[in-house]
Amino acid sequence: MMLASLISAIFTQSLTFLPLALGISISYSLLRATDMTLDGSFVLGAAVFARLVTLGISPVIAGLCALIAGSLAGVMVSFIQRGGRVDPLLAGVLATFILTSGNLALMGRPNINLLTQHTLVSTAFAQSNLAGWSLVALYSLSFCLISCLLVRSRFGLMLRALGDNPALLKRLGTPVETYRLLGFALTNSLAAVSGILTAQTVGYADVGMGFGMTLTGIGAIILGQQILRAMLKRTTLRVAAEFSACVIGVLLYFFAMNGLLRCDINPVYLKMILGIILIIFLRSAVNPNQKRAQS
Amino acid sequence: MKKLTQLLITLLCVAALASCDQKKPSEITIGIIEPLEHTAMNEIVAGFSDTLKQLYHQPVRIKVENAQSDANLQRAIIQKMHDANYDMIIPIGVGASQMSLAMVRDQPIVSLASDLSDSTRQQLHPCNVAVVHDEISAKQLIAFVHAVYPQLTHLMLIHSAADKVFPEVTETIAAGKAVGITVDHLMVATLPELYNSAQSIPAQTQAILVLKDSLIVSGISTLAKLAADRHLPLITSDQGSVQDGAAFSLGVHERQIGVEGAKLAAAVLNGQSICNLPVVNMEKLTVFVNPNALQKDSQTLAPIQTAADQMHYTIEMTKTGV
Repeated sequence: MMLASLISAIFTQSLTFLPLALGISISYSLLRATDMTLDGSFVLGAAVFARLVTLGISPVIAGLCALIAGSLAGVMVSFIQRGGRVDPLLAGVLATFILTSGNLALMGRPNINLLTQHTLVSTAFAQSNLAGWSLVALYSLSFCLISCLLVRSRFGLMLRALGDNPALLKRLGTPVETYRLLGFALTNSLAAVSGILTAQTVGYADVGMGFGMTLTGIGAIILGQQILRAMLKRTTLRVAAEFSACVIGVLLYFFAMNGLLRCDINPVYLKMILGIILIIFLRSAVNPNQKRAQS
Repeated sequence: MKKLTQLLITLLCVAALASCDQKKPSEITIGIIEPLEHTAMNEIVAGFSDTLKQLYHQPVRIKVENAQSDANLQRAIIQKMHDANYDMIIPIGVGASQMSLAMVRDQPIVSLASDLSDSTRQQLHPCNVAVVHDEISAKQLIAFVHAVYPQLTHLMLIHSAADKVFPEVTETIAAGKAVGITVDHLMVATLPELYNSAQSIPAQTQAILVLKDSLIVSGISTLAKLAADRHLPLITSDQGSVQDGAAFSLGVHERQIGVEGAKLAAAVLNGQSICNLPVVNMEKLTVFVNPNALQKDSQTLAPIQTAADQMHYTIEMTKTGV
């Protein structure tokens, strides 16, 4: 019974986090950029959705607007980086600064309560938790699937080329900035999807709810990639494997967190123990031959 | 690969150990969620635990879990308490209360220091929450400040971007306007910004006001130094900030929030319907004074004492302080 509830906790927490992790994965593995804007876009999605829903606008329209707002945040960060004039990491930090104020201005107050609002999933949750989470899973996995299909297409190939060698791509006459813009729009809209789903499942949107999400996501996807590489005995991963790595990383992160909590570990020490476990896990997962091959 | 399989098996064993936090059938288990580490939170928890022991005589196990400002962790803690069938969940603060209400529908919740209104509570299906508010009204605070300093016309309110503070800022400005005080406000988003932002307060400022705002209160020593340098009274709304260097405050004993929460919890455990319990507001206000800080700010105790007597507030001198 407790094992079933543990598995349920891991899956429900992973579902809302997965689009954000996939966004981070695309940004980190394809575009080769640590896009810190995703923390802000996560909140932006939740903020726009919550604000519009409380103004009486249909949750579907509110969701679409939040999605567009997320992609606009991506457009903004790509404009900051345009022409390589600002370092990608700095551009992300600057965009996050802007979004911190912007989100607050947009919400009008730091916290919007959604507990009594009609949302995209409220009717399903009113019927049963299973129905509610099934709907959340449908939304989350649909967006992830669409993104994976995009990444598998020529568009994804161009994004990968942009991350690997932007100079060569430019010399070949490809509109580098357009692809950068579209890439960041995609990753940030995925973060917004995560924010929208999180706000609905936790009952509120809050300006501080994105704090540390990107770092957690980066940790989870690196973990997943290392494990999958070790399992497949490959140094590079294809798109499906990259997505699988993302899922594995997120599931393992929430598995470790929930498992340790349920073993009565004091949350104050939880992250330290979590870090040590993951280091041991990674050191065991990657064999020395593979590391040599990678280097 | 072999090692990896071994590790996966180990992790599955961890999962099997998940049952180690199961409650004993004979005892009542109550889970308290602290969103972050804060002295005020510990006071609330202490007040709750001590009072519940006095009011409810069955064996009770109280588990306090600190989410350290991490939303994922807070969510996992609430989920754990829900899955382990805790008899009651006690979230402290607005965010933790909202998250608990969204995730827990079949266990009673006593929400402490949150702004959940009775009408919101009644709209919940099922209604499974009792509430203790912790804020004092802006009108009361401004009326007291006005009584202490009748000549005061320019007050600087320094606040953070915390969710519960925003409506209070608006109320404070309106309350100030009603008694002829212009309340200028300065928002500080993060603690490192406090020093630089505070340096820019206008010259006409006659006093600095801080609401019950954990971010600003955690940097109160910065403001205490500024107040001492500019000979301005630093007025706050909680007990802890006065111990840490503010001149005086009008507020409640944090412990009392826990005490009121324990009364609600005991009533629920004794079989009362949770939804019929009234929303508790903190009404017994105390004036906390730090004589050392008051002296540093070039202020005297006399007007505070007179105003407190007039308004029937108890005065309490801090034993520790700057």
